[in-house]
Amino acid sequence: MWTLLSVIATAEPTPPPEPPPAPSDQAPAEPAQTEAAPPPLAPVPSETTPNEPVAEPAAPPPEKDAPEPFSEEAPAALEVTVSGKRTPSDPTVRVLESDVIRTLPGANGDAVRAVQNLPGVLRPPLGVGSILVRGTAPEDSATFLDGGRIPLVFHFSGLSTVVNADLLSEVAFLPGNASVRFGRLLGGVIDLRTDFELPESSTGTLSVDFIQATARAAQPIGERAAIVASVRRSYIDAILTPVLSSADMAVRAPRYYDGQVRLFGETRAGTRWEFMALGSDDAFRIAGGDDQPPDAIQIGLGTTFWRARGRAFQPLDNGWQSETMLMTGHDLQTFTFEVDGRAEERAPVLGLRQEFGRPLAPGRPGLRLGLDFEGSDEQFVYDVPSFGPAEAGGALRIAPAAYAEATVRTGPLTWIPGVRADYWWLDLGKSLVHIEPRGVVRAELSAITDLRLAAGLTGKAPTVRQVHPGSDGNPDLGHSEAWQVSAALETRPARGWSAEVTPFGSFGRELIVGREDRLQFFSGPPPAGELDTGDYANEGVSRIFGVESLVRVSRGRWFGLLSATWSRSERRDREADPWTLFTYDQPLALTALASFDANKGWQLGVRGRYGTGNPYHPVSGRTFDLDSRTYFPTFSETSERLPPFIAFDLRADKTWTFRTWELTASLELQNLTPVPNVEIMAWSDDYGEEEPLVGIPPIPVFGLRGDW
Amino acid sequence: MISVLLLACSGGNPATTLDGLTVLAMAPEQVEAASGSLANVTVDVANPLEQNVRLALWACPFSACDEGGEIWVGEPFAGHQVALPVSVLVPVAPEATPLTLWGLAIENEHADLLDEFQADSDLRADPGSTLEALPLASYALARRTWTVGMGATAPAAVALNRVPEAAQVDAEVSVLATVTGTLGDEATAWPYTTLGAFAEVSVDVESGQVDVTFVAPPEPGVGRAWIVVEDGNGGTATVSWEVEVVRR
Repeated sequence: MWTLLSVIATAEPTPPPEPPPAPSDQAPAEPAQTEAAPPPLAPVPSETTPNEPVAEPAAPPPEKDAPEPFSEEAPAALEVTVSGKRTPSDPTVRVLESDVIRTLPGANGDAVRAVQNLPGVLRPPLGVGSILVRGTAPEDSATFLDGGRIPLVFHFSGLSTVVNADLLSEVAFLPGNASVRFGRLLGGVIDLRTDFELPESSTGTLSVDFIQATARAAQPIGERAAIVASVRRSYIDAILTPVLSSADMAVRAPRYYDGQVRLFGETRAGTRWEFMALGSDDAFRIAGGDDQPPDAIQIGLGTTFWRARGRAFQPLDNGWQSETMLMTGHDLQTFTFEVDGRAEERAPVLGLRQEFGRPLAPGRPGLRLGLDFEGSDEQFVYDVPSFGPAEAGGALRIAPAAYAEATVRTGPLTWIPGVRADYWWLDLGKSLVHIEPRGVVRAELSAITDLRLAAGLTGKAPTVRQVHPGSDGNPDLGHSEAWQVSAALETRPARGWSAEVTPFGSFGRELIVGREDRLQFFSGPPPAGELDTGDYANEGVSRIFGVESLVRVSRGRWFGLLSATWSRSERRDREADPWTLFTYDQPLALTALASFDANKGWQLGVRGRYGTGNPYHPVSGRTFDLDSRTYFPTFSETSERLPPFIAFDLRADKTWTFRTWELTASLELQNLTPVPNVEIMAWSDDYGEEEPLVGIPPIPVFGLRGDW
Repeated sequence: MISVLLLACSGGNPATTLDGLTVLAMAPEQVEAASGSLANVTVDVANPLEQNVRLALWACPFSACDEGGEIWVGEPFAGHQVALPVSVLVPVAPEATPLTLWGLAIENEHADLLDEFQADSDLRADPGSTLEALPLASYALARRTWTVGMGATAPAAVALNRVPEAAQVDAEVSVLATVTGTLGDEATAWPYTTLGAFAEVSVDVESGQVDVTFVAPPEPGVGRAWIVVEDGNGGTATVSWEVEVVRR
């Protein structure tokens, strides 16, 4: 039930829609169009423009599928250029435009769920709300909103992305070797991106489905500004709570809401500006139980965050641009257990990004210089008697980073060396510095084929809890780090066709391990098998190898995508330990997806997925603890695999266009599977029998959406 | 995290129905044994398949087992209760020293492993890893804490107050047991059976009365049931009886 998705369609500002135009195929002979050349008033995130290697820095040609913001041209009702945008310093960037997301089968209109179709993304067990990138752990990757980090990508269990897709222009997925603009991570990057396209008139959206209701409105303010607001509230709790609850226990199924307000525009001098506020709140509870009042919370989970930011892009002299973003907010995670147990992590946060960039031009290199500051006052309390002794502590964290990157072209080669320096300071008297060299070389092998080689170091500082002396931390911890390498070969052999093969590797070292027995917040399944209960230490190492491939076609009314990821992910926690398969190792992940515009307002789609089962450690022994009357398992050192995952999704959309508005009905049949998929291995109480937890049965999700 | 929580919540109370070899209780005759003394330990073993098993007991400090420590191995048996003497060889500390008392019921054909336990104190400290190669059904391993000090407090004793007569299929039968001795506030009772199941369990600390409800299975048969009482003061006492379920 936790993978139920909602229809979050993309509101385009100018209904009624035109008939589907010719797909925005990328001309093979014009590779420059496949670059992320923004429209003149597009958001110009700095990684897409300042060091653009194409030599038209002043006025890059508008992308074929990117309308002029102030033009009368209606955007396409179905944009099928799904990916292929990339930026010079990010060797592998896969972009999904919001229009495409709207009708992708299986994604149900959600921005980041759609990303999970792309190579490099592995399927999380139970479909929970986490992103597994290239064999790394969910917490190794990070989610950004226009380059500003946000703590959460999905609402509970992946029901929906925390930002309404209607406010986004695209979702960029960087599975590895991200540019120096991004740091403090070991895995991939998901960057949710907005643009500065102004609505030409008042528009709105109202959508309802099985899970949530969404309202969005956009209003021009004068000729050069606009305001967009969105609110969303799930009500799956109202539906599922009676189903899940028993006579003496009430399960309050997940409920969430989020909201965003964005005021943006452009001055006559060409400065684009924005103020944006967003918030998200999730809650889940189990109440009642033996000898307890019906409303007594037995288990409660909560995640709340908000952000407020101001952002400006300002053209400077000599082709330079300035991007400034100031962001503040607050993060809160809570866990309540029975009457007296509570765990909490909270932090007011502050972020600042100042970046100056200049695109590559004839006779001069492209440059990018930036400051990426993060600060937070992190406080934690873990006081749940059932999970060990209480801990409490906190620290002020100051983490400025500076980065620089150049783009130089020599013949068919484009060189993009860069370096990022991260400083990390806690008011516990601890500081760290991490220098991260990164580089990309792009070779244009032909007019339709290029090769991008990349290597770089990424790092991630320990958490406050891991070093705090008051919580049995290790004050000597340093950064975890990983060398990432990749070689992306991409070709566009024919109009509307593209193919990509990317071997990749990631080699982690000094990874922080230990204390897996502690209660902690996690975004994926908890540690499985024998737990590493030793002290925190930088002793872990990892090695990940793989190949990603992506074939996509966008021809006529058809859009298709075939993605595959072969990989192997291994870890060794302590020097004396053997190498073992990592919890998230999935040797093969396949996704085949097709979408067809059937005319007369019909859009049909199908998706099939296959994934190798995750490894797990079978129970090889058990001990009956007579003090607690519970069994403690002994897990085998050798791992086995769960059965493979196989599922199909079907989707149909029908749009009725009226004079001033349009109505879209959608039906998505999710998780059509020949047999229930085993998601997580579980055992009977005495660990004598394997009782695997299977996935949800096939589910129909019906939605209605009105746009005006 | 939610999914995992639901998974954790789905288990409910530990099962009361036993379908395999299980060490149910190890009841030292003294809650606190004097160091160096011999103490009899009564062990209750559920053996529904009537396997030919041997029972071994040994005690170790929490951290590791001492070199030269002893392991007591009983004769092969197919019953449900056996008493063995266990020597307590840890040094006497000014304050009570907690021990881990291990009990292992193992199919007789694998009894040679017990020699390895006898020879290697490290194996006794972590017996699970040694047993890893055996099928789960061929052994039952249990542990409990046991305090060794200067005291000698008598454990609680359980007397079965009412033995139910043959129960009818699908019937619910109340079974009362009375505990003689002092019960602590944390006293608990754990019913087990090899046939049917148990539902309600209650312990009245004041009166020492234990009340459990036996739920007969839909098919007739003969099995064995236990009530294990942890008296809340470190003592354990058990009572066992044969269960017979007949058709209406």
